[in-house]
Amino acid sequence: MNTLPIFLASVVQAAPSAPSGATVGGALGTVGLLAIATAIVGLVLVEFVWKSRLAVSTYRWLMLLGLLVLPAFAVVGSTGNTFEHMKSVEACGSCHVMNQFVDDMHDPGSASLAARHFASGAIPKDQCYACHTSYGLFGSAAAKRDGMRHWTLYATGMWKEPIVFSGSYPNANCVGCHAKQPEFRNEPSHQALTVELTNDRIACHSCHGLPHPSRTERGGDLISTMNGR
Amino acid sequence: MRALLFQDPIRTAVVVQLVGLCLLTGAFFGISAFGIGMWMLGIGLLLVGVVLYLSAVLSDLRRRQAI
Repeated sequence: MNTLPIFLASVVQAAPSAPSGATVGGALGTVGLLAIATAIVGLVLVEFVWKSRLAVSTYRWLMLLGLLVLPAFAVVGSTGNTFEHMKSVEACGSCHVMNQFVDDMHDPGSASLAARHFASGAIPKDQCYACHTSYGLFGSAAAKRDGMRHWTLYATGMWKEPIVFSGSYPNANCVGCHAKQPEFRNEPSHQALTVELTNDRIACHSCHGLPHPSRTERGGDLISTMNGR
Repeated sequence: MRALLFQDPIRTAVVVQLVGLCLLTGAFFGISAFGIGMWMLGIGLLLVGVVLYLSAVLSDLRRRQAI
């Protein structure tokens, strides 16, 4: 029995559509900024201007609001805003260790899968996020969690060379978009390898080339290309 | 700083919180590793501020034998 149509149908149904217009992250960002501004102004006024004029209980309640409640909104809002912006290529490229990957993707002469996808305009925005997010209920959350972990390692200087991709790259990430194309569905080799592709026993890039330049092509360990580290 | 911490821990908490809130804004102005580092530090300072405030209030209540 050919399971390719079932596999494709399940992946395509799970594929998220790109957000348009207002986003939850953007709304949370606005809430966060308002909370930060209100907390700063309120704390300064209550602690440094009005303190002597306020009853102790009023002062304590206002402090609770300014030190606990508003900062909680600020943290939730700024986290939502950060998670929203984490999708952008600029976010991934903000760590110098990713420069070679981002530069390669923007290079029209590169033959890597990432560069070919970028050159074709197949993924209009947030290209890193589009390919590195697994489909399914927790795919987006897992991608953002990984992004946050990478940023933490980078900001604290705890990352180690050589940078390696941990985990696996499921074919469903590719098929999520390609399954819609008749060229993919009608390709005899895809139909012949349905079971292997569905079970990730054969990776898409084993036939279609590396997604990014190999370590040798990147010039060895990334640390040697960085100044001051 | 040490004198301020012991003489008026609530004011210290407010100062720490103000610095933390300012650092949180790092996440809003352009996405960068530096901004995110500031944001993470800001969250840490907010936690420190809250702990300082709560411990100050609790110790005050205990001193007055309210709890």
